[in-house]
This record gives sequence, structure tokens and C-alpha cells, in this order.
Amino acid sequence: MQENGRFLDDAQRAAALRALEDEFATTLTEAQVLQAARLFFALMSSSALVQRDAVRHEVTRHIADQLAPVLEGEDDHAEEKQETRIP
Amino acid sequence: MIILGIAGLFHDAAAALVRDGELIAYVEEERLIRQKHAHGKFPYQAIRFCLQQAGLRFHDLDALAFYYDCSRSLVCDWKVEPFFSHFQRHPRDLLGYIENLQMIRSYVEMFAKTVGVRLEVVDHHDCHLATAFLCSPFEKANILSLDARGEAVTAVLAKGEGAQITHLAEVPMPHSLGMLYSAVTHFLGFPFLDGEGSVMGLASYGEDRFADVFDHIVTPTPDGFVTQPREYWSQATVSWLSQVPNGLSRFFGQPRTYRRNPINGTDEHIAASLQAVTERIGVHLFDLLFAQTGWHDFCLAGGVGLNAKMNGELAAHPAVQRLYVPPAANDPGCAIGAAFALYARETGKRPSPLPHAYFGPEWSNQDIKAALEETGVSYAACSDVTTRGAELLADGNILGWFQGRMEMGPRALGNRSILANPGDAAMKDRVNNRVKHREDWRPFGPSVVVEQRERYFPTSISAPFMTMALPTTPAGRRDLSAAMHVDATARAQVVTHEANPRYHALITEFGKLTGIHGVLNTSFNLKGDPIVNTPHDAIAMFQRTALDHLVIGDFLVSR
Repeated sequence: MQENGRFLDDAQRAAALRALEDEFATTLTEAQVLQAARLFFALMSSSALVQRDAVRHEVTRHIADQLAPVLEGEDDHAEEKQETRIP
Repeated sequence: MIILGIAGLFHDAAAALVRDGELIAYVEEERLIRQKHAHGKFPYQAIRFCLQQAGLRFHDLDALAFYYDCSRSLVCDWKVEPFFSHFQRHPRDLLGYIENLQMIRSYVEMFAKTVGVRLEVVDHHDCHLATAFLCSPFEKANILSLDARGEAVTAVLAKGEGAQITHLAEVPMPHSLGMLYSAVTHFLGFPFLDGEGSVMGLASYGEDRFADVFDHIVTPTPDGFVTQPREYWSQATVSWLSQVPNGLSRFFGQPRTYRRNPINGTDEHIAASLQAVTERIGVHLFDLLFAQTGWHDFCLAGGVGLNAKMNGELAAHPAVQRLYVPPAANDPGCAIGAAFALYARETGKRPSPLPHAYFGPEWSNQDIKAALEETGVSYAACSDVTTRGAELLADGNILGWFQGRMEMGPRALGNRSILANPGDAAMKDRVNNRVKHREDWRPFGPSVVVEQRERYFPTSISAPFMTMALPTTPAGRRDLSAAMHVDATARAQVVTHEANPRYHALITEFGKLTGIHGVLNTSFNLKGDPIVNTPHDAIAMFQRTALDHLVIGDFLVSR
């Protein structure tokens, strides 16, 4: 999934990595596990690491390029399809 | 209610369109973009096909059903050993893991928002369970989903009754039979998520000489099984982690590089022992299901559900009267499973069982003729392709056979197939040397007409999708010799008139001419390519190989 790096927010990632290193790098006590868990769940429940604009741009481009005929609007593809079936 | 099921962004993307509980269209993205397994892809082309086939647009849809809950996966994995220890040593891997799943979740949500359709996420194993049971003709059945992994578990034992599926037991991460199979596949020099079928084929050349190793790695339990993940994990099977030592080296030395002939006195026995433990665990899980329900019908899906050799053993389990393994038992089939599961959940009704496997793209004779003209090959219209095709097969020719809507799943089922006379044992080498260029130790499979099933296979098990390797009768070993494996089993497709009338007619005609009531059937592709989709794909392969003839729609292409 290396290709997905284009969607990521570098600044947010660097901050998240520093925090994870702090929380996970030691032998954890039970309390530290809970602390690490809070950090983990906070990261997990957000999409802070992802540049949503980059995702939006790519999804929109693919939809425009590849799915234009099935977006809302005029299109007669269903009728064309009927004509191209093997009897 | 209209639901678009979606699988993708990991590997093997696909889309399925379900209208009022009936599957209307389904296709794997790899067939359309011509990239095997479509790694990391979202199924844009498959979605477009499904909507066009149904004559719908996005605003007609009631919901999108996606086949994996990324949030749940994250919650479960991080605290499981050996993940947790690894993340302590390599926090960057934890970050990368979170990023990947955040990205996939964001991508799917953005897609749904952009096209303006409600998004519902279905747990991965619930998709597999739905593909296994809700596609089957059984009113009630035991169900097993056996995979590399889902969000939190790797296998689910369940029962299905009407529209309801109930979990009975789960095998949690990281204990994974599928991941073990992939790890050994990669260790033996084959690509994981692709070469598992090769390892299954290799296993028949070996003996279970490493049972002690694999019994140490996998242990059956009253709830399923446990494993020793550190013994088999490798960089390959958990590719998003760094610096994972290859556990299997402790037992078998250095990981192998790919060799065209891997039979060396050791590796075939490793494959055989892996296969044996897989079958033992499969039988154990069926034992557990039967003990809980007392029911004799079984359904099976998940990536491990493609293991035809295991499925053949399961079909012979004393408790099994009927076994259903769907044609797309692996992840692409989750597009159907997600849509079916959501339909059942929201309506309380059961979707319609699959009558056959042919829900992909098709082309008219007019389209085919245009493609033939464009490519400049020599062709002739043929008023009776089944009779003519049977004559050509009887004369020893190798045919490309391209008809109707494309089949689902990794096996060609008579609409995008390469066919030959299975009664000539030398035909296997001819097909390999002239057309397929596969390793010669890998078997082909036969398609036989249902009316002659008992002549060739000593079982009444229905096998419409080439998902089971069945033992053969003496007549089977004689008539289907080029489509049998070294262990005298055959990965059979039993063909009915109702499921595929043209293919059934072809084999029937071939039987009248030769007394052999089956054909050698292998997928219409070159090694490493997806199965052909369009007439252009088929014609291009005809031109690149030494196929004798191509029967395409109502046309015959010859050299």
C-alpha cells in the first residue's frame, strides 16, 4: 500500500510517530498500556493522518473519468446494453 | 431494495449489484483493468459494469455495502501478540498500519459521499458467510468461513437458517490457517495471494513427512484451533510490518526462490504436510459444526475455501450430505456477500440462491464480428458451434471457447475456457507447451455432464464450480487422464443444461463422438494474466499462442 502515501499528511504523521514512540518504546506497565491505548484509539478514531482533500481529488477524478455514464444525468446505456447481448 | 456490494483497496477488487435480493451483475476488477488480483485498486470499472448491466445510476441505489470494517480491525489488532511487541519495537509500523486503514476507510467514505449513496460496512467474515450460505440452495446449513484474516478473527463457525446467520465459534487473530498457507507458499518461492493453488498441486507429489512441525504450529481446540504465529509469520504475510524474521527458516532452512520444478525431495513434502494439516483442521472444524447442529448440509467460503483438495476431503466427511462452495469463495466474492448480508439484515428476507456462476460481461455476435474484422483474423460464421466445436475437440484440437456472460471466480467454467480432449494423456503437455506455458506438474481439471457424473466420480456431491478435487472411478482415470492429478483426483466441474446450455450441449456432442463425456477445461488466459474478458482479449491470446481454433460466439476462427 506504499502508493497510498500520496494521501497522507506529513506533519500530522511526524507528530503521531513521536507520540507513539514515546508511548510504546518502553516496557509498559498496566497504566502505561492504558495510556498507549488512549493514544491509539484517538488516532484510530480520527482521520487526522489522511489528507482528505487528496482523497477527495482522486476519488472525484476517477468518478469523472470512469463512472460518468452511471452518474445522474442523461444516458441511454441500458438500451445499448440490451442490443449487445448474445441471443 | 438495490445494493451495490464492493470489495477492494486491499487485493482482488470486485463489485456486485443486487436488486431485491437477486444478483444481477458481478465482475472482478482484474478482468476489466487486465491486472491480476488488482492489488490496491478500487473497483471503478466493475462498478460501472454492474450499474450499466442493471440499467441503473447511482441515484437508484439504496446502499453501498463494503466488505471490511477498518475501524474494527484497528481496535482488535494493536493489542494482540505478536503485534503488540512488534509495535513496541517498531512504532513506525504501528503508524503505517493506522495510516493504511485510515486511508482505506476515508477512501470508501469519500466515494460514497461523492456519489451520494448511503454506505454500510459489513464485517469481512459475515460477507464470506453470506457468500457461502445465502448463495447456496440450502434452507439451513452449517457454515464455515476460513480465511487469512478478517477484522478480528480468521475463521468463523456458524449456522444459517432462512435469512439468519448465527456465529457459533470464532478463531481470533493472530491464529490463522490462511496466513500459514500463504507463509509456506511464499517460503517455497511462490507469490502469496496467488501461488497457494500451486502449493496445493505440489502437495500431491509429496508425503506428510513434516507432520511434527505442522502439528506443533497448529493445534485443534474445542473452539477451533490455535497456532504459534511466530513460527510462520514472515515479512511476506504481514507485509506492512518491517523486520519480521521468517519463522519457517527454523524448520526448513533458507526461503526458496521460484523454480519451475520445485520437486526436490523436500519441498513437495513440506507442501504435503501443510496440506495435510489444513485438511485435518478443516475436518476438525466440520466435526465441531456437526456436533453443534446435527445438520448434514455444509457451506464453505473464505480464501482457504478455494483449496479444492481440502474441499474434496470435506465432501467425503461422514457427516456431509451436501457441500456448497461458491465459485468466488475468496475475497472478490465478498462483494456479493456484503450485498446479500445487508439485504438480509435490512429486509429480513433471504436473497435468491445463485442459479449459476455467469454474471459478468457479454458481447453480441455483432460486437464479436466487429472485433474479428478489426484484428484481421480469418474467421467464418458457424451455425452450430456446439457440434462443430465437439468435432474439432474429437479431432485432437485445442480450442479457445468464448461464450456468453463471463463466469465469476478464479476457475473458468465454460464461458472463457481453453478446452481439449481429456482422453489423450499427452494432451496435458500439448496444452502446456503450446498454449498455457504453466509448470507441467500442475493439473488441469475436467468438465463433465451431470448425466455421466457417477461414471467418473464415486460421489453424488454436486460440484458445479470446480471447487472440489474428487476421487475418480476407473472410467474417470481412463477417459479424463489428461485432466487428472497425480493422486488420481480431479478438480471437477459438473455441468447441467440449466446452468450452461451451450457448454452442456458441447460436452454432450463430444460424448456422442468419442464416448468421453467430459472435456479438459482450463482458464482462457496465459500464466500471470487475468482470464480474458473481451473478444479482443480472446483474439489477442489466440494470436499469441498455438491455440488451434477459437470458437467465439457464433464464429469459428482458425489458422
